[in-house]
Amino acid sequence: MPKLRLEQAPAATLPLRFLLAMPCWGIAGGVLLLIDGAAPLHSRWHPATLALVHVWALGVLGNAMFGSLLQFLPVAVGAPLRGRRTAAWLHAAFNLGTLLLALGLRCNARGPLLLAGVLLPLAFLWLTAMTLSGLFAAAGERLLRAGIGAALGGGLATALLGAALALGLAGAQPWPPVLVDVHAAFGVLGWIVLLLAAVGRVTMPMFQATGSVPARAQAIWLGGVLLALPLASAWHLVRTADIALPAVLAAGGASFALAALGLQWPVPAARRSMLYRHWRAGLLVLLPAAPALAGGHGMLAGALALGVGLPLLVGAMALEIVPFVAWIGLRHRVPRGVRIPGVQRLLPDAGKRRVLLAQALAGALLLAALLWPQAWLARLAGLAQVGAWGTHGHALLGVLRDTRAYAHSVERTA
Amino acid sequence: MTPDDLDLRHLYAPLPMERALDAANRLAPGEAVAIIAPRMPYPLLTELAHLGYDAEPEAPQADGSVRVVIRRPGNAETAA
Repeated sequence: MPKLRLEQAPAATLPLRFLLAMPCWGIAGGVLLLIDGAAPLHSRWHPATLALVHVWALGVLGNAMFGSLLQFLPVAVGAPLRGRRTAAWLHAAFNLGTLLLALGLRCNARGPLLLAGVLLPLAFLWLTAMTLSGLFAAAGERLLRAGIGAALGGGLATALLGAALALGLAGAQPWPPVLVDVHAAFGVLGWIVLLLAAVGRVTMPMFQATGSVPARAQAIWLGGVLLALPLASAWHLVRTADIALPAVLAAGGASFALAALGLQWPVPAARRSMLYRHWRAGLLVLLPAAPALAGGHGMLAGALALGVGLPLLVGAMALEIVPFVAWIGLRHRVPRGVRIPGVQRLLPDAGKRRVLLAQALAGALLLAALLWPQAWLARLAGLAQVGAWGTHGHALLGVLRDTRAYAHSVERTA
Repeated sequence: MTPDDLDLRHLYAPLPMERALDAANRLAPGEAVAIIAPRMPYPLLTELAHLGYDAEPEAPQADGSVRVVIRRPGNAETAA
């Protein structure tokens, strides 16, 4: 048995700054809807739409993925992180880049677009540099490590394509729509879905009491995505808007959602945790995004996936990670032998259920506003987004507040 | 694996870690307990090392589960 490098474990607080930023961006997305009304729901090329999509893709999903990855790699794979002390700077660069991109797209402002075009690929390169050597050095879990490595490559490709588009827009160059399609396909399938599938292989059995997809089947799926996505992208660029790329994206997303729902199906009702319920809701929303995309309804597919389904999946993971991280921090603060509350008591199921209900309402209103794009309905959907992500953020902050209060009470009585 | 091992494979996270730390906390100096974790418990091993326990994981089984022997150092060892 090789000696484990336990000294490489990250500081417990390392992923927190990313996970706490996520609901803030969710609230920002709601505010954009409140300001712009139905404008972002008419056309994918409207400046307000582009800003909103990137607030969701980078601010909400990106922060959750960065934070989860930094927490997950050392914990589940034993992969050490390089340059852990730079995580605060990575967080600042990524979130500043996201803010500048949203601002630049919304207001067609050259300066913010130029800066975002530098900061965002830098942040993805930074994340890759922090994690890649650990992925190679770790032992075992080859399929998991391959999936994460592939997702990092997909994220980097997305960021580089996005930077080229942002810099082009800053230089008043017209966007080739097919290049935007390739950027979006790599972002959703090559980065987000690949990472969720890889991490879900471990976290679903651990947290949701499911089985696992057979390793051979997942390896074939991963290989298929890694082959089909670049080929379909190249074909899309050459043939100008061929059906192959949407089909690959739809098939990749749908197969992930179907496989995860299939794993969830046999779990007895008594063992269905709130994480299970969040994931089931998210997967059920993700599933119709595939036929919507294949049928040419890109706006609907984008709202289902980026606005509702995927945020439900990653948001629920944050509701598990933050109490666990806080619990570890509490253990380190109180004297040995003092009993501390269990992880589940730091964020009880009632709190998670409130978040799920608020997200479900906000998601339903968003889809209604997309199907009947009227200003009042879009603003109502925006208000619901603010409420849902406010509930989410309140739950996360409540964990940290209660943990700190408990530690103080122990210190006072000691 | 012995009948005295604390089998945590049927629990979902983070209960295995909570139970293992509770079991470690109940150990008298010099005592040991063995747990069966559903997979290599990296955060548990980190935490045990932080708390000053000796934890020796065995090679993972075919199903990914891992037996870990947790030992609380005796008073003499702690003093040393």
